[in-house]
Amino acid sequence: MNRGLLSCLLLAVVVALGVFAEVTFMQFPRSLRIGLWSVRQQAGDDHRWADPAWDDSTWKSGTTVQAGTGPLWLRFRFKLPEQRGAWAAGGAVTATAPLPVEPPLDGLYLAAVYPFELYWDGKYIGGSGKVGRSRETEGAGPLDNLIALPPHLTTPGEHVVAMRVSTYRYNFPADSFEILPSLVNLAEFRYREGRRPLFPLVGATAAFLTALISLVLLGVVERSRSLLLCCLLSAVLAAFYGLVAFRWLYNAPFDWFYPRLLTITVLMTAVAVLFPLLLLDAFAVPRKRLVLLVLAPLIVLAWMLSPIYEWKVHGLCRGMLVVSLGIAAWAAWRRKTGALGVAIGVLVSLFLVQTNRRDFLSPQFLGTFSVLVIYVFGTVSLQGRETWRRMMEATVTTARLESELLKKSLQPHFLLNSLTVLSEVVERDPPAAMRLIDDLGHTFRALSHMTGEKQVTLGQELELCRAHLRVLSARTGRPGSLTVEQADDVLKVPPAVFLTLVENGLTHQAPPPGGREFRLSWSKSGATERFRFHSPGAVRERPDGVAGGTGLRYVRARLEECFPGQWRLQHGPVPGGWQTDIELRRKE
Amino acid sequence: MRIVIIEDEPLIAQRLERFTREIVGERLESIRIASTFEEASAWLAERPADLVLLDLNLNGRDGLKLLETAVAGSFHTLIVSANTDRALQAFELGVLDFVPKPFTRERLALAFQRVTTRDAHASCAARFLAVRKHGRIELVPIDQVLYVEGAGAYAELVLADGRRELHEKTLERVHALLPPVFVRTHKSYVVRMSAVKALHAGEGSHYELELKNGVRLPIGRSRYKELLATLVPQAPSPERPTPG
Repeated sequence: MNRGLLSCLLLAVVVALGVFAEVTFMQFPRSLRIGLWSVRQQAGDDHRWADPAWDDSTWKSGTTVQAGTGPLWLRFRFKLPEQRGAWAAGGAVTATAPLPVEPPLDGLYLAAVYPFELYWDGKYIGGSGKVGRSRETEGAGPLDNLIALPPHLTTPGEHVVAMRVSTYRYNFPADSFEILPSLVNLAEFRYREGRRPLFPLVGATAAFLTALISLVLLGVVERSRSLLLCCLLSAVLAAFYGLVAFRWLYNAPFDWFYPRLLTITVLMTAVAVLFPLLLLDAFAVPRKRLVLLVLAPLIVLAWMLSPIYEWKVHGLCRGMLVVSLGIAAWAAWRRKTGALGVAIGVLVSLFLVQTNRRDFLSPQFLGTFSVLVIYVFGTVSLQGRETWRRMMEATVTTARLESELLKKSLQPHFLLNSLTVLSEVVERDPPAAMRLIDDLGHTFRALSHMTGEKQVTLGQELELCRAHLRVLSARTGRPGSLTVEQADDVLKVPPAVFLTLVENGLTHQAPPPGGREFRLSWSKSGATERFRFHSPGAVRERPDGVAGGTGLRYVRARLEECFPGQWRLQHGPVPGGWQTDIELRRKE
Repeated sequence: MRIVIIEDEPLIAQRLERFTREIVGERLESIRIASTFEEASAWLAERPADLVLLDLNLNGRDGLKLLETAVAGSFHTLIVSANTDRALQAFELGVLDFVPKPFTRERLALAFQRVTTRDAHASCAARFLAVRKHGRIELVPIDQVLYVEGAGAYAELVLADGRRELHEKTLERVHALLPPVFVRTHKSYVVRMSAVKALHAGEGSHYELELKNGVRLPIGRSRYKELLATLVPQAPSPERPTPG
């Protein structure tokens, strides 16, 4: 079974589990919201205003309450009919979920970011914090308030709810807000609210473990940027889920609410940046800055989109997923490992965010996104394993290459033929023999200096090539040279790589009539460096043909050792000779 | 003596030529230098040679195929190479000598001595004889050869399974490559002694040698006594065949 299909199945399971989790854990308690269209409010402070008989017809009518004011009295007047089914249709109340006939509505729930005192038909039934005349005199109470309603107060007929509030510690940037008390069944409410932190807690634990594993891998196995991003992203997600769960774990003072929402939004912003960054790095996407330039305005737009923080987060989420989809689609098109799975995961996440506008924290989305992050982590780990394998291979190869280089320096054929020529030249032309000895000495010194080195300067390498060519010119009587264009001598290259290309040219190509002139040029485009080596002469046989290829294997092994996975060698015949292009990217 | 030097490095080739001229002296009929085996082959296809001095690494190419092709030729082969790790293989394939580089005149002279010494078994290390068959070279293990029959400029190898393979070398040159267990029994035969079952003396000094597979081969008159002494040191009578 291929990975794409497996990813689809995995995501289908996650979405199904998410639906199950939402039904089981995240369903809002069923309730009746009251007072939406019938709020009357009056600035000032008079406890007689709690009296249901008080004439509030002259009071200001409006559903929103001004921030930074108080004390202030609010009154809702509404009728509870005989038939509960009719409540949903009433003007004063609205159902947030299909209403059950049973159990009875015996509680009032109010999430209040302000202190209040609540009077039901003139009787004080509960409150939160301390209503004050200024920020200093106001006291913060719990955010979530569940107040029991005695049965005699919920009889059919008209009821009046009066609230004494002050709003100095509202904290949100908005200058007004709505007050939304709901009638609920206490037992059912407590049961459902009690289960709501479970899912975010599972998410937080999973993300925390992922962060921990990434950290260990980062410290012990490989210091890669992808793993670092994975670690950061998982840590941020763990904090994000933790803060989501926090509300249901601890009924914190209401003035914590705004900082919490702000932190959640900042964390989501971090996720929105880190996740695309992780994908960019994991899939080695070029032009990363361009992608980030697309992401940046989407993030700014999300922050400006709405004063409601859930919508900001929703916008951030959408922006992140759209950009991530682009990255993953590109990577899948380039057949990068794991990219198809990520693309499908991002697409499903985007679909869930788009179709579930009511509550962006739906388990389907969070589950899918969590699995997506773990999937990317798996992909990064697989890449790490591949890098590790290549490193191990390279380590083994290094030992072999050391011996190859030693063999090159002590190559019996080269040495003994040179000595044979030398014995002839000594008799014929002693000064020429001295020059030959000098060049031979130069070649062996250069090679012995390189032994044990992973990289040498291009200057050292060129010196070696030229000394070698001088020896061969003396031996064969055919001139040989190496010209270099636009290459800096201090550039680092693996040892004896160009010497091997020179040897390949000498071995596999017929000597041109006027002597051999090897040419080396260097260019850089972005982070990619290119060495172009031209070897002159008609090609007798391909250097990678059935007859050999040892030299090229040496070159490839050396490049892999120095630039694992970040190099490319292409070669082929060109007019007048054979051309080898080596492209490489150095580690930053 | 007609000599071909196959060497890609001109200075070494010139050194070989100089030494060869000094060593062979007046016996030298011709000498030719080739820098590639193809060039030498083209030359050899038209003119016969007695000896080829061959470098095993020509222009960086592996010399094994080259060696197999050379030893299948009608001429003797001397290897002059730096690839001493190939020496054993060269001897097994039937070269007369392997002169390692760098070489002295004395060492080269020793090699020439092996070529010129009549019936000299240069190394006794040959394990194969290379024969050209259907345009390619095949190696015949020497331990499968029962006897070799001269056929003019060629020699025919007769194997234990009855097969016959034609070798481009003369009987003398093949004999020079074979180990001492092969004895010249006739001007046209070289026979493995362990394969001999009996000697038969016929009428009129007509002698025959019977192999274990029943094949009878003539024995040269001048070689009979020598052969008999080799096979049966205290033979009582030439009429009584030796036990097989």
